[in-house]
Amino acid sequence: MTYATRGDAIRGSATRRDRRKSSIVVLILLLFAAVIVAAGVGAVPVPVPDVTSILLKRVPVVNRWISGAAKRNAYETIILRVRLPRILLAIVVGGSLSGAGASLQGLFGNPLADPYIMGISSGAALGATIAISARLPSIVPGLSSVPVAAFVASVATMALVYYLAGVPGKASMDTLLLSGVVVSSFLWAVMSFIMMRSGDSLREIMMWLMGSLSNKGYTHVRMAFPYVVFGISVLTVMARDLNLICLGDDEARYLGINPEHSKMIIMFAASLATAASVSVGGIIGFVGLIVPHIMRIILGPDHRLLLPASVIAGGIFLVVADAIARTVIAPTEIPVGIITALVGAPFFFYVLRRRKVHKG
Amino acid sequence: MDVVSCRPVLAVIVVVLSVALLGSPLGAVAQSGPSIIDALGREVKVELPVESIVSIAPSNTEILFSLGLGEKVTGVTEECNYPPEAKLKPKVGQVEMNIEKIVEISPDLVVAVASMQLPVIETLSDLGIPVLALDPKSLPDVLGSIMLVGKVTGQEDAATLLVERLDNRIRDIRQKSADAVAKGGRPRVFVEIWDDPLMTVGPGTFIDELIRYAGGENIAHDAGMEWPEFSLEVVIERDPDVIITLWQEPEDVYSRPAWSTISACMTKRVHKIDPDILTRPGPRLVEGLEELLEVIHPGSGD
Repeated sequence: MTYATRGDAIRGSATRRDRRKSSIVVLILLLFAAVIVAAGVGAVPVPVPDVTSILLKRVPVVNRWISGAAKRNAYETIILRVRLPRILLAIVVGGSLSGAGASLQGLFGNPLADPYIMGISSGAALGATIAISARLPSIVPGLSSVPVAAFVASVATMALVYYLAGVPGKASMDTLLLSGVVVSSFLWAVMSFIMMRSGDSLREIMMWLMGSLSNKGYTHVRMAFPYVVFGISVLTVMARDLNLICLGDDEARYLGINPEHSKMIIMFAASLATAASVSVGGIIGFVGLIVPHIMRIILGPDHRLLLPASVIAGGIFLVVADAIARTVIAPTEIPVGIITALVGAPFFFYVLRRRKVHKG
Repeated sequence: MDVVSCRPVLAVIVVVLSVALLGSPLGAVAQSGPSIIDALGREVKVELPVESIVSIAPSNTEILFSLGLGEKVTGVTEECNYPPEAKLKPKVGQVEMNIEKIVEISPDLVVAVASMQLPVIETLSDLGIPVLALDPKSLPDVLGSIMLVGKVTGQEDAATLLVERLDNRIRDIRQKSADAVAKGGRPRVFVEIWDDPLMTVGPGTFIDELIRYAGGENIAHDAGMEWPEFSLEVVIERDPDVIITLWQEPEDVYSRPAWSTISACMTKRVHKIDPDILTRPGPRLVEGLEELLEVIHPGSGD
């Protein structure tokens, strides 16, 4: 798999730009479709007319033509306060994991890179494990102690990884990566030790680790959103630099960028977006690994297109996976991380094979 | 010469024989306890009186202390926090048991939980340490377990008395809850084990059974798993009258926007109950049952 070609990085023909626009439009339409379907399905069957009237009632102007309240107050709560925030959270988490994954795969030129490669997730996992096993009470109304502890710990982990890698701004990629791996193993060990001693709370910790968007509201969306938007915006701005970095450090330097500097910025933005996502969603695997690959197979390696496309596709993928997770064995839910791998792996192979048949 | 060289050998034989002979009358003083069949179908027989018992589960520790065997307990787990005296006992493990520690204590009996501790039970049995495996799955089973411990340890009278008292309390609660149900029906109950992810209790758990005994209806009874991650939509739809939390404060639950329309939140009927008296298969389950009756049918227990 190639991460960039000279042509992709520098030029951009008119047809390419058209394709770029149209594929983003298609993805956005798909995302809307996914949101509407996901809002309509759930453990509680809400009739379609109720779903539409509840949703349209919230749209200004249109709501003048919507008559009466939904049959039951419960339906309104379910659609507006359970499903919608959860769908929004799935978009935020899926989009940021996938966007971070796309950038890091390009940055390292390694198909195995994913948002968790820097060890950020191990920090979040440790934070969550501590919150669950110590049964920390919630300090923010409406927000469990778990995401708060996970976020604090993951940001602290980021700081530790950078600190151990050396002087800020001067650390090399390899040192940083190595520092991430080492810190990550260390934190996993601490976490395993806590889990080993945690008796009854083991079940809850395991469920959290598998990733879940259960019982999440707008508070969680508000918590993660600013960091994700910041991270993804920075990554999008850096997409051109990333293309140049893919050509090699020397080439990038000839073309006028400081590769080490750009790498650090990309790394930091991806880490921050990951930290926020993992804190609210647990360690949802596969989204950040497979979605960027699928997008790269379909759309090619130009990060200016690949990055936004991966973000939107990651959102679509997680919205769909979460809809499956909360419905298949309702009223019981399946941790969404199980679904992302279960659905994602076969889908990836399908895309890979089709692509090969196409080419061959 | 021959006789002389044989002397040390003879001396050894004499010593060994006399020790064996001396030992046997000592052993004869102790009487062999009744042979009983434990939860794994194994025959367990212990020499009486039992002087040293190691408990490798908090529920077992509570059973032993409630039978007046507290002084004989020579080892417990880190999780054994009740009664308070139990915390002073030597520790033999937490989730994983330390076999060496148990062998060092070399107790007359180890009381284990069959479904969770099979490898430890096998290892200890191979080392010649008698193990009684309990595996209560329901409230009547717990009373059976108490009887079993009583019989093996020679405390059958104490066990009979305790079981009778517990049984009376259970009957009393069931009578009161039946009256309350006849008057006002079965309130719907949701138990929040944890909030992130949202987990509850399904069929096959003690809590599910206790809720039924206390005259309530567990809204997650159809979850198909003992400790499921549960759909918040369904909680809202089934609209529980009572919510029981094990860790979260009722105020936290009231402050969650999506929960505000649930009856239990609107009528301020969210209660926090100590998980130990709801999940540990020991005599205190009856206390849990009494607390459940009080929150599910307030005032009916008087």
